[in-house]
Amino acid sequence: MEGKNADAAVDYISKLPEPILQKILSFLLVKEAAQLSTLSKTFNSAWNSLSYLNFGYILSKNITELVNVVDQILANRQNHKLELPHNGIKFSSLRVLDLSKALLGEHFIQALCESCSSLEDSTLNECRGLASLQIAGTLPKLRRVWLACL
Amino acid sequence: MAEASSSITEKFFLTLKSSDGDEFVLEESIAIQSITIKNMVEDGCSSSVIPLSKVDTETLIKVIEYMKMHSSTSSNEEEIENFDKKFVSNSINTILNILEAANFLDINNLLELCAEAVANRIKNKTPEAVRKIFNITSDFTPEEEAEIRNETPWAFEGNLDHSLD
Repeated sequence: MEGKNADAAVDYISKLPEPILQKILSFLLVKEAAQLSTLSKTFNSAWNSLSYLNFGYILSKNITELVNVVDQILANRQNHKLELPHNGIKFSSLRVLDLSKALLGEHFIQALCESCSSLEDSTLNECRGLASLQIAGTLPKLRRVWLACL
Repeated sequence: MAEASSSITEKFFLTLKSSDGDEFVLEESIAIQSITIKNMVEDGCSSSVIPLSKVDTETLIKVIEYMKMHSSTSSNEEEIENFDKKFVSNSINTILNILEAANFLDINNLLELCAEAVANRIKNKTPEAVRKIFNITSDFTPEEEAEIRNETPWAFEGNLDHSLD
């Protein structure tokens, strides 16, 4: 048993298995998780393969800069096969997509169906711009779509 | 029919042994919230003492307390919610030990609870504050740290909390 009284200076969090550290990071916003990558190699490695990314509304930047940041983060995910062809983003490994307060263009669903072939679960919360929703047959693995306050 | 009803009400008990050698007797129906223990029971290990070599006594007491509350038919939602709130107010190192045990024992809702509790202590803090709270030593050279910082410059904009609360 490690001394419980003398352990004030023990770094317990870095001893956790990486998936558990990533579980903790998954409750944070991307901005917070990215900052922690400077702490140590353990945190940097956990961040670099973190697959749950909550962008929040951290980046009150212009849309081009936001897209660049998102692209960079996705391109850096080491454990995920994300293809970034010239004619659009293809998320063939993406399984869960939750969007909140997004303005969706009329081609959003079409793009979603074409680029996210592994999508299993999607939540659209307080999203505007969607006139109708037709997904029939194009997303074979889709099990659940949750629509709220459209 | 009497036989069937008596087998339903019959209680089975397991003995769990911590890494410190302390033994705890627990109802099987409570203990099998741990998938690791459930698998051991299904593999026929329940007649002997179940050794939990990765869980010390202090942590095991907390985990058992949690499993008892969450399996009790007499505790209502509000009681469980209040229990969970108090549970995560344990010291950060205790929570981290429980988190590791929840991972080893495969108790998913306990893992979620503790992971979120740890995240809540990190939220809105500067990396330096997080370093102090968790005693994290850097293994980067200043140059390496600057390089990593430059990979995500957008992450370091805005104000953050420097306090250690």
